Amino acid sequence: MDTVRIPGDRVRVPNLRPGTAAAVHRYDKERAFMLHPDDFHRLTALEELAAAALAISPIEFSEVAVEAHRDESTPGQSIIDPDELLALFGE
Amino acid sequence: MIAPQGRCYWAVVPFSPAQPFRIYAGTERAPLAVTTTAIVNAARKGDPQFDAIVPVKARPVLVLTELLAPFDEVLALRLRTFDKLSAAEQQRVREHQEDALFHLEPAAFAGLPQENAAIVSALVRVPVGAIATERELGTLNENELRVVHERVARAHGLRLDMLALEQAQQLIKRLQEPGP
Repeated sequence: MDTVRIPGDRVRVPNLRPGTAAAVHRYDKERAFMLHPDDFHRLTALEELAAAALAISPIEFSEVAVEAHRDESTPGQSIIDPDELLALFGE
Repeated sequence: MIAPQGRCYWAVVPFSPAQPFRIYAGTERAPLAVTTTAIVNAARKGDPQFDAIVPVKARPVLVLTELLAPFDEVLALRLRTFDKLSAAEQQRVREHQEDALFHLEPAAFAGLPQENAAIVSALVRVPVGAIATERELGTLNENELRVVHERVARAHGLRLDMLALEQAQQLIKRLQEPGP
């Protein structure tokens, strides 16, 4: 999560204790949440931990796997002889 | 409407064009061999389009997705026939010791001419019109399909962590909701 730093004299911040979030509402819609710094750092650390735990480990390509990929992705000799093509597909 | 996911079919699959691109230049002269830079430079002068001559091949593919509506396309993997592997390599693939080559059990893929492995890094996008869907060559079971999807994600370094986290959060939210 990116954090936008705002000088304290630009907003009115309520006094928040750890474990309490302030929900800012406008017309019954959630606009923002304010947290105690301890809670914010704990939650972002938890999110990073979960993301790290869920990150998938890359596959290591063996020589045989690399050769299989390259060989099957590289064209061989195409048939361009008209007589051979006609024999294969007809008119 | 077919449901091709996890199934193997013959398909007409082009090779990815690579430079020098062979650009069709009419019937009177040979195709032009053109570099990427030359084509990109030409694009700065307008929005030109060219006919590149691309080799195609009929080959069995393992389809990974259902039809992506409304485009009628699927993602599929190219296969590696076992006759191109040594006896030791074949055994490693059968024992799932090669993460990038997924073994296709011959009993479940009886329509294939010989034993094969799907190359998890060799993804191709194929329009359904280029697939011979009238004859299925074999099919993966659900668990095998999950493993192939996982290996494709790992091979391509797809970032699925936030997706998994979001799913877990939704699951927790549902579990916390009061029952009926």
